[in-house]
Parts: sequence; C-alpha cells; structure tokens
Amino acid sequence: MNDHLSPQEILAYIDGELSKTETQRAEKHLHSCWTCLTDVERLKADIATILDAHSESFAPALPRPPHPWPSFQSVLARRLPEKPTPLRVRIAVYLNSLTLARPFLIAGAVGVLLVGGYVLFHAKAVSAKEVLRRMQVADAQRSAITKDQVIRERVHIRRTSRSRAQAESVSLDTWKSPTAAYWDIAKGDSAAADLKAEYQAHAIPAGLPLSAAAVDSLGKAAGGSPTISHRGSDVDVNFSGTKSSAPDSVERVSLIVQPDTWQVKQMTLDFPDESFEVTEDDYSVMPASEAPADVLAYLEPAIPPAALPPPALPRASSAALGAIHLPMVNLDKAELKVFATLHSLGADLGEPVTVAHSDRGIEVGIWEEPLQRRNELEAALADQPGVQLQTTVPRVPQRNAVDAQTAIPSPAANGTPLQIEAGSSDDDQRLLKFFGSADKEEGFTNQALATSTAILSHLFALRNLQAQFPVERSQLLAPEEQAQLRSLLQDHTTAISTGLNSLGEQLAPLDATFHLGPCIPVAPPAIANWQEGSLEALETAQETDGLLRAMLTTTEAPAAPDSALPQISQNLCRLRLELTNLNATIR
Amino acid sequence: MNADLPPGERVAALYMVHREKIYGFLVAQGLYPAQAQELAQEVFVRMFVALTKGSEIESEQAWIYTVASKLAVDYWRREGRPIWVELDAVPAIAENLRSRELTPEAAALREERLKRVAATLARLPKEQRLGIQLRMRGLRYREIARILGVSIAAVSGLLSTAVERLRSTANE
Repeated sequence: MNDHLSPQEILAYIDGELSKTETQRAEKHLHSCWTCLTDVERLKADIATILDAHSESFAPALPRPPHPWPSFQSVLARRLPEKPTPLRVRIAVYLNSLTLARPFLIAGAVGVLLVGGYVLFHAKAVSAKEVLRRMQVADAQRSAITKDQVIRERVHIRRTSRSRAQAESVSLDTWKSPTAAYWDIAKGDSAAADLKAEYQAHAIPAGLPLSAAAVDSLGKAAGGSPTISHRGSDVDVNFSGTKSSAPDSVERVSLIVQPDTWQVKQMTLDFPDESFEVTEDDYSVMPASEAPADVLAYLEPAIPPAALPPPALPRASSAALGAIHLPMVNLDKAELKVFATLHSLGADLGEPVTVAHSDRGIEVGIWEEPLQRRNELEAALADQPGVQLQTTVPRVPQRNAVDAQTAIPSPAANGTPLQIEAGSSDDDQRLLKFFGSADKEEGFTNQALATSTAILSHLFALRNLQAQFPVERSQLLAPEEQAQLRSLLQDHTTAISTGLNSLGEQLAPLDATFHLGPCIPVAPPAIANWQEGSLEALETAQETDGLLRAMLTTTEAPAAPDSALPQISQNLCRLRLELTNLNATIR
Repeated sequence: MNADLPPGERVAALYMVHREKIYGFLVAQGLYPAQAQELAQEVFVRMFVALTKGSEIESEQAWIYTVASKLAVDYWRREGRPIWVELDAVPAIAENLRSRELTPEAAALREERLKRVAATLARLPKEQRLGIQLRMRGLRYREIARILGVSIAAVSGLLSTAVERLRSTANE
C-alpha cells in the first residue's frame, strides 16, 4: 500500500508511455490508493492549465515575424540554387514550377530561370560569410600600424531623415592610433555627432567608422544572416534583421565592397527614422608627428584623455564630446582576466555564462547558473576592476555578448550533406553483437559522446575568444596581454589534442569489424590566423560529432557504421592537421 | 493535404497553412525572430526536396515539427550558449477567450496564473521546453528521444521535471 506512484510514473501513465507490465501494476495500485488516484486527476487538471497558458499567454507573447512571408516559389528560387542539390530535384523544381496555378506563374518563371541558370552553369559565388572574412583580413592588414604611426580615414556622411525634406552631407576626418580613436567632429556638425552617438549606443568598438570591427558589430546589431548581391564590379552585402519601433534600432546595414581589395567603399545604415550613408574618401597611414597636435593629444596613449590639458588649438565643445576614448580601465586586460578566471574554474566550457564588453566595462552574465555555482563565480569575479556582474536576467540579451555570435553553418545547414549510407536495424544488431551487450554498447556510446562533447566545448570556448578578440583587436593587445591570450588558447588546443587522442583510442577496437580506413592526410585550407583556424576546426568537430550521434544514438537519420566510421576517422585526421595549423598561428 | 498533388503545390499549400505556427514554434525554442523565420522556410524547402526524392510522408504535421525541432537542436549545438525565450509584454487575454462562467475576480486570478505559467515555460531549460511543446503536439516519448538524441527514460525524466516546475508555478 505504501508503494505510491512517483510523479514521473503518473505522467508516463497518463501519457500511455508505461510498458504493459508497468501499466497493469499502476492500475492495480490506483484501484486501491485514493491518494495516487487524486494525484492523477490533479495532474490532468494541471496539464489543462499548462495547455491554456501556452495557447492564451505564451504563444501570443512571442515576437511577430520580422519580415513579410515570401511566396513558397520565391523561397525555393532563393534557396535551392545555393545548394548542391541532386539533378532530379533541380529538374523537379523546374517541372513543378511549370504546373503551378496561374497566380504563381510569374514568380514560378523567375524561379525556373534562376534554378535553370544554376542547373546549366553551376555558378558558385563567394558567400557573404567569406566576403566578411576577407574584409576582416584586408582591414587588419591595412590598419596594422606601429606605435609611431596614425591612420586618418576621411569619410563623407550623408544623412536622410524622414522628418526633414533635405539630406545633410558632411565630410569627417577620423583618426586612429594603436590604442585610441578620435572623430574630429566640427561644431554644429549634427550628422556626424549623431552617427557617433549611434555607434556608441550600439557599443561599437572605438575605431574608424568603416573598420571591419564596426561593420561586424553593426551587422550583428541589425541581426539576420548576411546576404550578397553584385552591383557592377562591386559586391553588396546586406544585413537585414528584426524591425523594431525603437528609434535607435538598426534595421538594415548595406555594404558596398571592392572585390579587388575587399575594402568597404560605402556603408548605409538604416534606422527607423533616418539613414546614414558613409563613404570613404581617403585612407592614409602617416607618421604620428604629421597629425595635428590637438588630434594627437586625443590619440596619445601614455596619458589618460581625462587628464589632458585643453587642446592646443581652439576647439568647440561639441568636438570634445566627439572623442571616443579608451576607458580608464584597460578593458583588454580586464576581459582577458575574466576569461582566465572562467577558464580556471572550468566555466568557459559550455556553462551558461555570457561576457560582453561596452564602454562601461566587462559585463559578465551568470544569471543562468545554479545558485551555488553563481556564488562561486561571483566570489571569483566580484573584485575584478571593470567587471560588472549580472546575476539576474537582463530585459534584452546583449547584442555583443559572446553568446550572440553569428551562427556557424553546420554540415546539416550549409547544404553539403555527407554521403553517408543510412543505418538499418541490421547495423544496430551488428553493433550490439560487436559490443556483446546493450549495457556495454551504451557505456561505449556515453564515453565516445562525452569525449566528442569535451572536444566541442573547448572549440566553442575558442570560438568565443575569437569573437571577443578578432584579428584587429588581438593585434593591438599589449605583449603581456597577448601572452595571456596565447596561454588560454594553448590550454584549449592541448585539451583538444588530448580529446582527439582519446577518441581515436576509443574507436580503434571497431576497426577490425567495421574498418575505420586509413588516415589520408588531406591538407586543410591554409589559415591566416588562429581565429580562422578555430572556426575551421569547430566545423570539422561538429560534423564528426553529428556522425557519431547518427551512428550511435536513436536519431531520425541513422548512419551505417561501415559508412560513417571511415568518415569519422578521416575527420579526426583532418582535425589533427587543423590543430597543428592552429597551434602554428598561436605561437 | 492531398498527397496526389505535385510536390511543389503540396508543399506550397502546407507552407501557407503552417509557416506562422512553425515560426512560433522555433521562436519558442529561443531562436531570434529573423533566424526563426529563415529556418521556418527551410523546413518547407526540406520537405519539398524529400518529396521530390520520392520520400513518403504520412503525417505532414509530425514531419514538419520533427524537422523544425531538429533544426532548433542543431542551432543550440552550433550556438553553445544559454538559450532562453524573450516574451513580448504578455497581452491581456482576449475577451472571447475568457470563460463566461467565471466572475471578474476569478477571471483575473486565472489570467495571472496563466501568465505565471507562461513566464516559467519561457525560462525552462531548452530541452525541457522543447519536450513539453512536442508532447503538446502529440509526439510520443520515443519520437522526442530521437530528436534530442537521448534515451526514452531521459525524456520521461525531463518531461516530468518540466511539468512539476510548471505545476508548482501554477499552484503558487
């Protein structure tokens, strides 16, 4: 009589998920136990409340779609040409579009032309992601200066506003030294001052208006995946994200990029009430001694800007407001210390912690951690200079937090599915026979997946570091901070290397039965820096993890071990080479 | 939908009917709205490709939600970050949805109760939230286990934990 049903058993009983024997036992118990019988009825009533809450309160409070829905034919025309789809599918797109009802005929015809063009020519354009990567590399190259040099970027700003009939156009000189940036905004130049205010409102890193870092941050602020199109010899990249009624929300960022230099010629920022078109007129690297003295005063790294005497030349007060200073606290150092602290506690390996930087300091979000862990992290981080701990849920997630990175396309999402033979029940039986028992198979599965997850968690930690320390920023770090960053990176790569060895050893016994295949050393693409290398390795590790799960767990698309294991083995070889390349760029 | 229709027409019709629901389902798994809208379209493109390859789809709704769920799980794995759902200001429950049998006081209490449960649902761990929402749509534990890549026992456990959390909020 005391053997009451647990809440889990009661739910499974209501859901009809108990086995036949368990159901009989539960029913027998319910016939004799009013307590459990009442619990069953109460749970049913509470489930009704949960359903009501979902339909009446939760679903209506979800944000609306940010864009109008395109027709399905437009969706097909836009998406299928980007993916290497089997010929019969491409032909089917063509044939289906011909059989569509009249209202779809025009859209269908456009789709057929696009798809047909793809079928005929297999045109493969550079992706938006690749354009952004090349822009970042090009920008890092041209902005690499010594401590005795400064950069002047002269831009033309054209502002159009819905509330004003005429557009405003101004020219602006912006300056950058290895440690500071300054926008030389003249008195009364409201277009430039307002643009700068928008940059600050979106926590754009201090720098030049068309720097890769600024473009990257603004693109993230706009949200959405970047898209690419061609305009004459130039390349257009567009970020078009969620529309918001907030006046300072970035609705759209459009870039015109020169494909020969991969530099941004022009950027258009669309806000709900106005637009800014920023065009680069000139970009010069010059000796610091040639910069005007008042500008140099703001770029001088040795003295905090707040302690500077007034500029040598008369300057309007609005110009002083136009300066973007590095804060008094060295944010690089503070942020690296945060990452080092999180790393020392193992909190950078997949725990729900966010790190974001702004002009106010380093914001570390630990609100999703369990109470005990939160206390531990709070104790470790509370006294660090420049660090602001967030222990409660913020109203809106920070856009520049490491948890808000542009998604890296997974093998499943980027349209290049691997040719892996689907698994069958025969394969399940062969695996079971190989391991000898279900328990042993489960033990192996848990161990292999845990190792794969550990490898991924270190690669995600590297990805977070590359997001916070892109090429441009990491090159400007002081030697001491570079050494600290290097140490963090090496810790992760060492752990990844250990994980790869373990996974190789765990899989080795399968070779005799399922044939892992030889390791064919195919050189991965050359990488220019550790940031690139981290992303490459993460992509390979994600693919490997997906294959392991498809082979070892119950999934929608099971993979046959004979087909999956050689690919996994080859991926591990590739990962080792990628790791070697990655280590070479860290040293 | 009529399975005899050509794939293009069949999926276009399903797209018209289900795109908003799939979008809502993906946003409810913590995806940003723009990403959710892109992936909602991806679900139907995948269905079109599957049908043109000759796959047979018995339950279109189950297929759609399964693929959408897997895209959400892929998204979580790629992101490697905490995932939560940002709700807009919870609107007052529409007049026509209010029970006519309740007094105004009882209706207000009920509305508060539903809002509390909705807020808890938004803050559930992502696997629990997905599990609950798939169960609401009639998926069996085995099907949910396949999507999440976990055992059936694990699904039973996470659903029970989620339901108990929601119940305790409802009965505060």
